[in-house]
Amino acid sequence: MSLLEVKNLKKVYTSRFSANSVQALKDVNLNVEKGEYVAIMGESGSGKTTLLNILASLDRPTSGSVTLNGKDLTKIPDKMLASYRRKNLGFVFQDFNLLNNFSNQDNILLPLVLSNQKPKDMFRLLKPLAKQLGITEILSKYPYEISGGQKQRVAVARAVITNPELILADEPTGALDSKSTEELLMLFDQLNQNEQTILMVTHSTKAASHAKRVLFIKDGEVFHQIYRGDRTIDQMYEVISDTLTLLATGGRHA
Amino acid sequence: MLKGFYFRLAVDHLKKNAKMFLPFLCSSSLTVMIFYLVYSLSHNEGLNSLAGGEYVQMLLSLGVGVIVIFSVIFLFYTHSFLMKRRKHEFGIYNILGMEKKHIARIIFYETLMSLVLSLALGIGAGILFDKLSYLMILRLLSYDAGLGFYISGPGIFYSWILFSLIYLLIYIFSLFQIQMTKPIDLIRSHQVGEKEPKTKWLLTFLGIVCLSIGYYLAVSIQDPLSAFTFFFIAVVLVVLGTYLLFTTGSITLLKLLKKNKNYYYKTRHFISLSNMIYRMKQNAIGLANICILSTMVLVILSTTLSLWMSIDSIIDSRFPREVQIAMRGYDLATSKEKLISVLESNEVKAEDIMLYRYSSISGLLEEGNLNTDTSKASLSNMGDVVSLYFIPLEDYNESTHQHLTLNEDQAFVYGTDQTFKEDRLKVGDVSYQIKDTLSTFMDNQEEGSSIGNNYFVVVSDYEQVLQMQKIQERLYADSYNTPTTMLSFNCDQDHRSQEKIASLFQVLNVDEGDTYQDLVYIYTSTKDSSYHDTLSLYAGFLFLGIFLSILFIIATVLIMYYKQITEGLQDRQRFEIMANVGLEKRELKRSINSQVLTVFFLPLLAAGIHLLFAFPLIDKLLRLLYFDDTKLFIQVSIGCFLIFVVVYSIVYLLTSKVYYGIVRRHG
Repeated sequence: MSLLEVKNLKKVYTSRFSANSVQALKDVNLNVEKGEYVAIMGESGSGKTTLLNILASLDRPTSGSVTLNGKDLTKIPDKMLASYRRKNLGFVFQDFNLLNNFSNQDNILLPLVLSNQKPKDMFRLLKPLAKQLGITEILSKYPYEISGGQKQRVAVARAVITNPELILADEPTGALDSKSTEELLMLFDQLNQNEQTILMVTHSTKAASHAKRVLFIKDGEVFHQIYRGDRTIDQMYEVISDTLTLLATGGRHA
Repeated sequence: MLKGFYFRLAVDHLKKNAKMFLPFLCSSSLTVMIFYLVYSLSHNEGLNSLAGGEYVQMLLSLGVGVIVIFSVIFLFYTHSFLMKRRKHEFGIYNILGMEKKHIARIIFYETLMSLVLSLALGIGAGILFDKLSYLMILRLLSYDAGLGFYISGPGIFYSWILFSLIYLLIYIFSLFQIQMTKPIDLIRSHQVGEKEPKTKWLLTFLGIVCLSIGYYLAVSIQDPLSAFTFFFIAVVLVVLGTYLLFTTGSITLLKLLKKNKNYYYKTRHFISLSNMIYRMKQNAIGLANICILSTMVLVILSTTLSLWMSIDSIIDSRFPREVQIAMRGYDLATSKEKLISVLESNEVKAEDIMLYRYSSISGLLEEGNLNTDTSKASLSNMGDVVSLYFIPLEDYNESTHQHLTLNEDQAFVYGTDQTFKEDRLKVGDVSYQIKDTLSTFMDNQEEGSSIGNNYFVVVSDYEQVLQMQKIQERLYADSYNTPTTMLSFNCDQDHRSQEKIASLFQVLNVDEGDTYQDLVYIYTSTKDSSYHDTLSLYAGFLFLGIFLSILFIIATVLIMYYKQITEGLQDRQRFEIMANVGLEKRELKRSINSQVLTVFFLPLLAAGIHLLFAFPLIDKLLRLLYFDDTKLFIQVSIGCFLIFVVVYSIVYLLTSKVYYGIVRRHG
C-alpha cells in the first residue's frame, strides 16, 4: 500500500453570487510511496496549489479521496483536522510562515508545544536537529533577524521536528536566492536519504530536478510524469525543461 | 496635473476607509460638541441671572479648561492611530512617483475635511443639545424654564479657533512623520518584525514605588486639609505608576513567566505569553490611558453623585434650625436681649430658639497650649489647626437646661471629633483648669459647618469670653474674629425668607462708632436660601461630572475600537500561520479569548483598585464640602463601578466583534 493515495480528486470552485464555476482539479490520481521525493510542476492556474491545499487538508475536495497511511483525509471531521495535520504532516511554505513574535527556537518547537510535549523532550529533539540543519547559533534569535535561507531552514526544522509521515513543501525555494536555494535542496536530499517522504510543489526546474519523480499538472489533471531513475541532477534538469517546453508549446505526450 | 486631483484622492480615501475614519470623525465631533456646550453654558446669560447659577458657571468654566487639555491629547493620540495604518499607502504613492509634497497636500485636504466636518457636526449637535443641557441644569436647580433657542456666537468662534489649532498641530505632526520616513520604510512599516521588548527593571521598580507611595498617601492621610494638599501629589504618582507598570511592569512580568520553561511550553501559555508581550509593547500606553480615563470617570461620577444625593443631610447638619442670625459685635452684655426684642416687636412666632455668645480663636494645640505662631503653620500641619469656641456658662446651661457651675479659672471642654486630654488649657497668658470634659453639646451650627477639629470651651461668664477676645486681638494683630451672638430658630414660612429676615434684623446694624468696638454687623442666613446655593454648587459639580464622564467614556470607546482593529489585523496573520502548523480551532479560539479578555479587563481591574485606594482620600476631601456620609459614598461608588463595568463590557463586546471579524475573515 502506498503512503499517499489520491483517487479521482475533483475540485470545483463556485462563487456564491454567480452561476460560473471554475474546475481547478478535474480528475487527479497519484500515489506516493514511503521515502519518495516527488515534485509537482505546472503553470500558474494549473491547479497545483489547490492540490497541495487538499493534500494538506487545508481545503476539501468536491469529490474523490485522499488516503494517507490508509486513512481518508476527506473523512476526518473538522475538529480533528488540526491535530491530525500536526501529527502527520510537516509544512514548508514559500514565505516561511514563521511567527515574528517567537524566537526561532520557539517557532520550531511550536508544533511540539501544541501537542503538549514536555519541555525536556522537546529540547532533546531540537538539539540534534538544529545541529543537522546548521541553525544552532540562530536559535535564540528572531525570524526578522536572520536571512531568507536561514528562515527556510528554521521552517524546515519546524516541519520535521514532529517526525511527520509526509512533508509538503509549497514553492520552498520561491523566495530564496540561488545559493540558499542550493542549500535548501541539498537539505531536502539529505532528509530524503533518511527515508523522509517529501512532496513539493514548484515552478522551479532546478528544485524539481532534485526530486526522484516529477509530476506535471495541466488543466487540473496529471498530465505526465518523469522518474529520475539513474539520471544525474543535471540530466534530470534537461529532461524537465524539455518537457516544460513541450507542455508550453502544446506538444503531445513525450 | 488635474486640478482637484489631490482633493478627490483625499475624499476617495476617507470614503474607502470609513471604518477607521468614521469613529475618529464621530469622536472629534463629540469633542467639539462638548466643548461648545460647556463653553456656551458657562457664558449663558440666562443661567447667570439665576440664583446659584454663577456657581454652576464657575465650575463649568473650570471644566472648559479640562476639556481643552483633554481634547488636544485625545485627538492627537487617536489621529496617530490613523496615520500608522496609512504609512503603507503613502509608501506606494511615493513609489508611484508622488512626491512628499503631494502626499502632504492629500493629508492637508483630509485634515481640513475632518476639521470642517467635525466642527459642523459638533457645533450643530452642540446647538441642539445646548437647550437640553440648559433645561437639565434648571431642572437640577429646581427652576422652570421657558422654551427658546440660544446660539452662542463666542462658543462657535472659540470652537473654531481651538479645533483649528488642534488640527493644525495634527497636520504638522503628520507631515513630520511622513518627512522622517523613507518610502521603502513606509511600505514595509507594518511588516517589519517588531523587536521583542527588553525587560526594564529600573522602570518597573520605579513604577511600583510611585504606585505604592501614591496608594500609601491616599490611605494614610487622616485630615481633610492635608488630603487636599496631597491629593494632587497622590494622583500624579498613581498616574505615573500606572503608565510605568503598564508599559514596563507588564513586560517584566511576562518575561519572567517566559523564563520558566515548564510554564512557558504549555500550549495555552506558549501562545498567550508571546502574543501578550507584543500586545503590551504596542498597547500598554493605550491600556494605561483606558485605565486612567476609567478611574477618572469613576471618581468624578461617584463623588458628584454622592454630593448631589446628600444635599439634605449636609444642609441639615449646617442648619439645625431654619433661620440663623449672627450678630458680630462686642456688646455681649445686651446682645441677647436686642435680638429677642426684634423677634418680639415684629411678632415673629419663633420656636426652638437657640441663643449663645462666643468668641473663637484658632491655632495649633500643643499639650493644652494654644500656639498662635502662624509661621509654624504649613500645608502639612493644616489639619492640626484647631478652633476654640469660648461660650459663657449661662448660655450653655440655658440651652441644655442644666445648672452647672464654674469658677473664673475653670472651664468645661467639648471636642467635636476628639476628646480633650489635658487638664489645663492655656491661651496667651490665661489658663483654665479643665473641670470636666463634656460628651454631648448643644446643637449649634459651628459644628456642622467647619472642617477642622473644634473644641467648645465653656467658661464662667461672658467677661471671660471678652477676655479671650482681647488675647486674640493681641496675638493676631489684624486678623481676628469678632465676638458673635448667635440666634437660631424655626418659624413659619412667611417669616423665614432671606429678604424678610434680613430686613427685620438690619435695625441692629451699627455702621458708625467712635471705636471699632461700637460697630455691629448682622448676618442672616436661612436654610432655604442656603439649600438653594448648595444645590446650585452640587448641581454644577454633577453636571460637569456627567459631561466629563461622557467625554472620557467616548475616549475609552475610541481607544478600544482602534486597538481592536489594529490588533485584529496583526493577529490575523499570526493565527493563520498557527492554524496551518496545526493549532486547533477550539484551542485558537480559547487562546484569542483569554488574551482579549486579559487585555481588556486589566485596565478595568486596575481602575477598580485605584478607586479602592483613592476612596479614603476622596472621602476626606469631601469633608471640605461638608460631606461626611461615608456609607452613602461607599454605596454610590460601588453602584457607579458596577454600572461602569456593565457599560465597559457592552463596549468591549461591540468592539471585540470587529476584532473577531478581522481575525476570522481568513480563518
